[in-house]
Amino acid sequence: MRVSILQFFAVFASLVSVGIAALSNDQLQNLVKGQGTKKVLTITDDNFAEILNGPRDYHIVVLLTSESSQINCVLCKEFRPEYELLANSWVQDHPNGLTEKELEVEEDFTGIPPKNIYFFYSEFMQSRNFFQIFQLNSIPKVFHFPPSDKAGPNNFIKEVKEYQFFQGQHSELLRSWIADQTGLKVNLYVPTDYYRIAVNFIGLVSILLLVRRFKKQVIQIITSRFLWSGFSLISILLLTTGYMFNQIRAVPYMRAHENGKLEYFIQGQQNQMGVETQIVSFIYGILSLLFVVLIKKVPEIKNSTVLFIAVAIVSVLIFIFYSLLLCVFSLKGMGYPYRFINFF
Amino acid sequence: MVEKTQLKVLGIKIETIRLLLRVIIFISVAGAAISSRLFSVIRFESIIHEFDPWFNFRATKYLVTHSFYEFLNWFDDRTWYPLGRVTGGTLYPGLMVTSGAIWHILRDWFSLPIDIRNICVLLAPAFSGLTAIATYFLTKEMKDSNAGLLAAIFMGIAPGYISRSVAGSYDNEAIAITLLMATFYFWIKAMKLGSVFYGTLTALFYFYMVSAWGGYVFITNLIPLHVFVLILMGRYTHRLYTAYSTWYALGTLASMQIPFVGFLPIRSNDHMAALGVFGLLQLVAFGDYVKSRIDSKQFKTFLVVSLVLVTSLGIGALFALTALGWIAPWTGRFYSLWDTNYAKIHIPIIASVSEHQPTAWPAFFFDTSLLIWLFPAGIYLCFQELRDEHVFVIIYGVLCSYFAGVMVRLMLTLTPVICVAGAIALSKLFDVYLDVVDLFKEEAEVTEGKEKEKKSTKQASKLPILPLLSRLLVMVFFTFYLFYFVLHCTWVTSSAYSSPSVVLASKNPDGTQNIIDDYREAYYWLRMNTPEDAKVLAWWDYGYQIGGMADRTTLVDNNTWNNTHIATVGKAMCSNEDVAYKILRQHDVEYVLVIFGGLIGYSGDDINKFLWMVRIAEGIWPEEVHERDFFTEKGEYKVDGDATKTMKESLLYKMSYYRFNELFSGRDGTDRVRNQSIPAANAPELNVIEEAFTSSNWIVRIYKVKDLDNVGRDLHQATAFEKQSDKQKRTRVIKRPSLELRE
Repeated sequence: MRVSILQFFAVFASLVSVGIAALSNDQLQNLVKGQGTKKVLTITDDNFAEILNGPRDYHIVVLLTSESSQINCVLCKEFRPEYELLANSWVQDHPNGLTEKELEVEEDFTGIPPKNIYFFYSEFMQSRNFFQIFQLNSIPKVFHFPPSDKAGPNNFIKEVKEYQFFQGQHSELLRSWIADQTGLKVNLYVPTDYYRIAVNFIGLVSILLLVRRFKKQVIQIITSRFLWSGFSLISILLLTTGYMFNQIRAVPYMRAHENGKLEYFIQGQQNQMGVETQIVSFIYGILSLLFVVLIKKVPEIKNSTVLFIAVAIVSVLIFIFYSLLLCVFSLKGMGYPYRFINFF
Repeated sequence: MVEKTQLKVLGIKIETIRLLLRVIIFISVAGAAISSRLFSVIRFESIIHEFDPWFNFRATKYLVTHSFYEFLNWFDDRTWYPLGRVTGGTLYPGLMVTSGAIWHILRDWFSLPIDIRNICVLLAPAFSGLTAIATYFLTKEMKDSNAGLLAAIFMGIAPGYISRSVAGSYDNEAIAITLLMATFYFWIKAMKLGSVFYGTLTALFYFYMVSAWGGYVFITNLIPLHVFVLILMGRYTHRLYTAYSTWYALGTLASMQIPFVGFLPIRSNDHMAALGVFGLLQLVAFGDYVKSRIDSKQFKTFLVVSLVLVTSLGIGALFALTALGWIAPWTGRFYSLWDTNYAKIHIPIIASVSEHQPTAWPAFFFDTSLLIWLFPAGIYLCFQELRDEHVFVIIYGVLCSYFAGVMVRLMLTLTPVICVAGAIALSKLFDVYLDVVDLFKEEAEVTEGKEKEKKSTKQASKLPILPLLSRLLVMVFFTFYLFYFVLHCTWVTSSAYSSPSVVLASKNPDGTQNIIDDYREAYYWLRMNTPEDAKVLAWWDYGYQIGGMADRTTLVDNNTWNNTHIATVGKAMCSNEDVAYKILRQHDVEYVLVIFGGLIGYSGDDINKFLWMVRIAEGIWPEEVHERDFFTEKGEYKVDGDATKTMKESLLYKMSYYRFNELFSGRDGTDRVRNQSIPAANAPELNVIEEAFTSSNWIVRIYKVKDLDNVGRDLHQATAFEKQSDKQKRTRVIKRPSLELRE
């Protein structure tokens, strides 16, 4: 927050010195240079008219968003870093605006004359009036204002182009949209995250040291048949009950109806919810466990009466759980005709 | 079987009886496997199913009418017009060669001139019998022949495998699973015995597998992984070395003989694991040799020095080769298997194929029933014993569970290991509970042992009722489960996997079957009524069928090798008439074919696939095609009065609903798939194409592309003029293009 306020003051101070007319290319360029590591300028209620009222000799891209906790916009938070990455990449390539060489290209295939792009950011809390002008009922929005020679106030409202949000890599989508709008290609430069490299390195070294220190225990763990079999069985149980489906499709855990009734299973063979994986893998696990008990543990009983009772109990339990499994399976629809005991 | 005395029953050696029984069981298993795959032939007729099989069938016909070399050099100019396809070099010839060989053998040696279509239809069931036998041998190596027989019958009737091998499903997988099992069996055998002979057989079957199915990469990675894990477990032996080196050297050389595979085994990263393990094995073998020659202290230094040396050399070489651009180990493809979202975002054509969707849990139970919960138990038992071959089953099981979870079509490769593990578990149960002989024997032993308590000797005289009863109880339950398993498999096969999808069946209210044969009706019309070199534009799903059944040139087909070309077709479908007409003319298209299910409620039609056409087209022409334009303001996909302008103007929409309202005598029509009403007001009008044929249930609609106007008007004017004159005359309501019957 503090940074943005400072930015705001910087913008404001320069505005006062300039006056009311639209900013020239050089002035904006200086503002961008005055920024710290983040090259996105800020638009608020106080300065939007000065910036957007023409004539303008440059492209303006504005992200209208809010990070405020009252609004709690998930997509905004997800989108902002990618937007900033794009802006920084642009400035990294064009620290002094477009070069002579780039400006010389009169009209490329898009038919749009090359002009510099400035990236702006607008926070709802500080620019309610600005948001009001566009009568927004949802955020985030990305607007593009092309160069214009009309000087009238609020002309920019007619000139605006809106970006459509789609699923996928935001920076890539936005980049191709900007290319469509401005005819300029932004090369993305993902900055090297030294912090993460350092953390990873330290983590690796400490793990290696730990391994060295507890060599015996580590070897014991790695060679433990129990652990490996546990790992294999659990992964099999999860994977054969649609765990990957949940991961890929990002399905809801369970569904609640309006009347407060919870739904655990949804219809359809090609569909499931998160909780289904847990229920079904539990049933499979119990069935497998009982089966293993039946062939490994029960036969070791010497006393024939106890043996009989144990066998009877385990067999009946298998039967019950298997019936349960069939009932659960029938819940998925498809008119499955077989059932042992009808639970529901 | 401790005592070696030959037991005899009715004067015949017990081993002979055992062999006889085994043979009878095999025949029954094969019989069950084959007959449960014949539902579709009995219900419908001997017909090739679905989409890909039609291409395989067409290729097979080409093979039996031409020589083998002509087949390998086959350039097909009747698909991917105007590009054509180097078919001989881009297919796996194993399947066609197999059925071609069977056809030749039957005809030349036995003088049985069987139609090649019948061989193709029945190839998959025939091979399923062989799969059962191969699974028997594989499982026998894991436990014993009892488990093997169980695995064979499981494999024979498990729906997970039947889904890809019913009669008529003439696809690569039909023979590939047989070869997969055979290769694995010979690998286990080779690894156990360290035999060059079995290693060679492994390589031979591997070669056959490579020639038959792209899924051979699974073997290429699984066997090295098995070896790698064994080495890590400290189980390196000379046998392992012999088996793997033999298989790798011969198998790789052999696989490179397939034109489509070519130099992939030394270039692509799918094969690098096998090469890496081969190198590692040489090093381990060398280390093993050195170890046997020098004392342990020296060996330790040797080990450290060589480890450092090998690691630095390896990393150096990797960087050097990457820098030189010879290899590209970190390309996008590398991540696509692990990052499951990769393909979805970047390659819409992959995401559009339903076979590439993840698997929800009901599919697992549906395809394997009881075996799915015996599977973990079987893996657990493998861990208990953990011989080298059990490690194989465990790796196979865990890895394939993952793959099957990610992609629904890989259920096919998971099913065999589920059958093997399930059979191991169940036969263990039978070992414990079915064998009642030891009950009586124990009694006898106890009576002989003098020091044992006298109580037990007293009991011994009685019949051991309780133990017998407990065994009986378990047996009753599990026999019941097995019985139910058969019911389940039959039900699944008959209800879900036996539809040819070329011919559809529906039930009349009185329960009788109603056959919907629109596809063949339309394809036959194309075959008989259009010029032999006519180009037909349709979405790629129907390319193989048009090629196989109608014998006409198509623009795109199910071998989706050229995304741009598919996007062109997509663009033609989703653009307005003028844009589309340009594309149609540029590609010499004479007929356009669409699938429309709105009349009878057939949900797999083109309107439902439309968004994929749009997406794929948008991938190539993002400026001209926008997915958003096909959704209403509220973001709904609508075809009724609320449909967007772009939607209503698109060629596909117009072709689908052209004259649809006439069926409802001019009132609003109802689309039964999407449950939306099609307004009669401003019904779609066609200017650049005209209706040529519509099948009896409206599933297939064929349109003829109009030629340029004779007097130079644009086609809109021409159509408007014609309509006006039609109105004045009021003579013909239905106008069909005049077409000559082909001789």
